[in-house]
Amino acid sequence: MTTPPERWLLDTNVWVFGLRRDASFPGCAELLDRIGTFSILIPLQVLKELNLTLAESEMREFYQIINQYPEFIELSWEPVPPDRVRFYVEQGCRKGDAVIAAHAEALDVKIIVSENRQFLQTLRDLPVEIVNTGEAQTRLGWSLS
Amino acid sequence: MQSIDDLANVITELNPSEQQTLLDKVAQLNFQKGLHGLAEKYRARLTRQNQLNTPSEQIWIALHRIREEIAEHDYPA
Repeated sequence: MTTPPERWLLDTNVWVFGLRRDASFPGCAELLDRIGTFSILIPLQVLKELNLTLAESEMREFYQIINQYPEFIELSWEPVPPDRVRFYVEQGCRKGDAVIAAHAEALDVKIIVSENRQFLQTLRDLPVEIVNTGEAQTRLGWSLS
Repeated sequence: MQSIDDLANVITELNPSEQQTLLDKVAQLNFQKGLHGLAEKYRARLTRQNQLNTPSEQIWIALHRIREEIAEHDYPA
């Protein structure tokens, strides 16, 4: 299989609202439906958050699905250096969001997709860009055209 | 519906790049099918637990709490 050129980190809220098919955030489900046209990275922090949100059997099924498609989805079990978490906290992130940004940086992911408004407004002029699902879909449409 | 053999014959008539595109598309659709199945099971459980229509504000509160608890545990000040 061919690995898609775009590689994004989907924040936990995109997974949760997407799997719930939550009508308040329709872009989340729409984005999950397009995985494969872009590839994604799931870092340790997101895996831990999903583990506390999904039931054990659901999490098992989640791993079974993603392990079948390594071209689309990459898992990272590596923690991030604490000094990079501190760096993003100093940029204005809450600590949890700082961990996500540090994961993206450490794994060379340039784009985080999130509906977390506070997170979206925090990072400016840094190597990691945060976009919402609408912006992500626009980007995807542009990159496919 | 075509038999598997007929389908295979049609596919072998495609050029290599078309075959690759087809394989990629099949993989993507299979992945989506798996993810849709998981979403259905998740939604069914939430329905049983009367949580499917939880307001998004409450979901955000829970997500923020989980995030900060994990971060505080893994990266203590």
